[in-house]
Amino acid sequence: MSSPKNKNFLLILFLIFSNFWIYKILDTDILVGIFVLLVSVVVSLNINMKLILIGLGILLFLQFQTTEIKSLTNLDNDEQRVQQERIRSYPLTYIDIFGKVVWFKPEIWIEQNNSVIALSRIEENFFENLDVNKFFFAGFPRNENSDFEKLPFVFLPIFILGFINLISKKQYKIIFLTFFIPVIFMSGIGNENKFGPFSLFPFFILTFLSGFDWIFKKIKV
Amino acid sequence: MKNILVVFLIFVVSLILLSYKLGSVPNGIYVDEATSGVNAYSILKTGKDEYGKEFPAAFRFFGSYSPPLFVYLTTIPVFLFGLNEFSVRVTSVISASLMIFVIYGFIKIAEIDKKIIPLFLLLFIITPWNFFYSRTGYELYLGFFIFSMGALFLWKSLEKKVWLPVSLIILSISTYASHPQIYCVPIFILGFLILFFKRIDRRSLIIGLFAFLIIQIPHLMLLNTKAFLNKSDLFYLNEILLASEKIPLPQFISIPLGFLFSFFARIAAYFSPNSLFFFPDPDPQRSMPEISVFYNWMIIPFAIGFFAVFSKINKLSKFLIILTSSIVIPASLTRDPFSTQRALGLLLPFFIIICVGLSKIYIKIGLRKFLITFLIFFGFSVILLWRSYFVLLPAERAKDWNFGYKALSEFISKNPESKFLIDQSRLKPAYIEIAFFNKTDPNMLQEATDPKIKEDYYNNSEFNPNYNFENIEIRGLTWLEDIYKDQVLVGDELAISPPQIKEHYLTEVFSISDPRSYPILKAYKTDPQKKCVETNFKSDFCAKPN
Repeated sequence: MSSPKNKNFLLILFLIFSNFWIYKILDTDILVGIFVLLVSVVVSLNINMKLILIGLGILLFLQFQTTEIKSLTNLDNDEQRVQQERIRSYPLTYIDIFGKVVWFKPEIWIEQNNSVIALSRIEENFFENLDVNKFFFAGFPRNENSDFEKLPFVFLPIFILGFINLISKKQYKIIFLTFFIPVIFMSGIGNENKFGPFSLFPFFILTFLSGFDWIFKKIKV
Repeated sequence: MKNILVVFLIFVVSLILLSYKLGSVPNGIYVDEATSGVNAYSILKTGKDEYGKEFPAAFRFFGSYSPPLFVYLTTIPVFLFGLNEFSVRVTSVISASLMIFVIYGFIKIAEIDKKIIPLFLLLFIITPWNFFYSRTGYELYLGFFIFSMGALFLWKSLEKKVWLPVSLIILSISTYASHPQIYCVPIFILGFLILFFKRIDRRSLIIGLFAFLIIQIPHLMLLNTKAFLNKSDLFYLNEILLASEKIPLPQFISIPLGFLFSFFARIAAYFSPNSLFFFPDPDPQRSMPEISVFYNWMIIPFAIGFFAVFSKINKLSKFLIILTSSIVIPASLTRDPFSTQRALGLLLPFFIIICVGLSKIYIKIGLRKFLITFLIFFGFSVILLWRSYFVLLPAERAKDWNFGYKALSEFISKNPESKFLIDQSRLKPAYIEIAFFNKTDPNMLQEATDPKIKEDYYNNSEFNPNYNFENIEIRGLTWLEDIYKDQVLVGDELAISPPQIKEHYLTEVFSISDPRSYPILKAYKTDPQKKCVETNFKSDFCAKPN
């Protein structure tokens, strides 16, 4: 008779190797692939918090190393053209207080403000990693050149069930560590990575596992 | 009483805010708006539509058929204010302002503290999805409003049975307002009956369904025509077949798999935070630059509200599931990745979820802190909206909204002695823009159409954008012939190239550019005499000198 832990381990291996993403990573860089695999197992089995933290730290480091980092404020030629056009689009904005005119310069405050430019790029990176279609449908129907098959779409219901299950079990800490930290980290460094946002891979395996766990319990009941 | 007064005040605020610069932003008239306006004008003046069909049950717009209610209602502002941008858009503004009462009704259901309800109603006015479509001069918002009102009464019917027939009547009427409702109303009612059957009064249901069917008689009469369910071409059959070829399985498995992939990918896109809080609609006419359908910060209350509503299965969560499904399922059967038009109905359940989320935050942090935080985000949102809608949209989306036709129409009417030939090749139907701005006599427009259309109005969906009325001809340019006639050639920036200007001795008579100075429309006068002389009367179209 196999123990529940062994059963879980087999299921985790099945989940890890039943998607296209891990093969792409292993095929391109075996070292990164092995780390992704190991951290996924450690996180899913919840072996030890220290080990999880170290594993996730290494994954984030690898994510950083393999990402083509772009400046958050530099504008290319086309973006500069758009910026100049936008600046010219603003009307003259002022208020007249008893004959004294106070001028506002929203075009400078908004369009030429480096903080605003950086914030909009962070926002773009952030929402890109919240796009379910990027993970389960290879970016379809809004395909971009960088999109590739990651997870099988038939796993989407398992993912949803698993995520709800994690929330209802108040597993906020592990969600925060495996999901929010990588997403926030990648919002800063960008998503120009040939392996995709692989630091989220353990989170997906954990969620699938949680989804299957919920299903098995329902079947037993 | 006090609450109703506050809601009424917000209704007035909505009317004022949504009417601000209504005639000038967006700074053009989109063809769907123009056709609504021209048909309303035609009905008002002649009792017939642009093709000469008397009071149609579905309007034939460019070879497709649209529910008629919006056009008939638009006859009122057209009668009052004349045919202009304001008149075609004001019906949506009024619908959106009345929507405040519907939102109020739903927020009350969600058991939100009365103190903060006015804040949420104000937030609804400036929510991008609401603001944008409440200022468009075609049927979408009207349909959304009537459907939402019907949904509210359907909910109320769970407490008071008298509302059941009322809601079914309203929902039935909504199918005459806009296309999405034709598909989502049956799903919505069916879902409601399945989930709440035990709580429904049977007698009221029978009365309601009877009234529903009576109202559907005009639709039933169109059942066997192309005018009913005429959007089937939007389904992605080819995409499924193409995808199934890539799956190395027998066709009876690969085709359903291909369908499931396409269908669920679209469903996921309608729920994706990327689509809701970051990406605008890919169609530039259906979105504002740099803003999605909700403000990006709304993802926080949305996530909180989502878990609060769906963590326990109760009346509200069931109702929202039916409401959302009835909108998402038909929308996901069409090609677009995220159609803000077809899925406009989602604004209602998603906004309720956001309100629930905000309310949870309010309970957690208390009124004072909530008020300060809310006002900061509200102010930030107003600035974003002003930037996207009133600054960037008129500049960057002018061409998508057919900017330039007003000036062209004025030029044409100031030069009645000249003949104008408009190159239709790359333009959206130009005849309707000219007819709108020049207030072309409806009788004249009806005479300019193919009389066969009227004979089999609901089945003849083939559209021909070529027109000839007054001093205007609209079709593709025929270079071999058109340069030998004394006329003004009009086209977009690509219609006539500099070598052609030189070769055919054309003289520029005017050029219309968008606010960023990119040319949109250009007009050139031909010089047939010079062309014939210079080419030694080679063309058969040159009158040979005696």
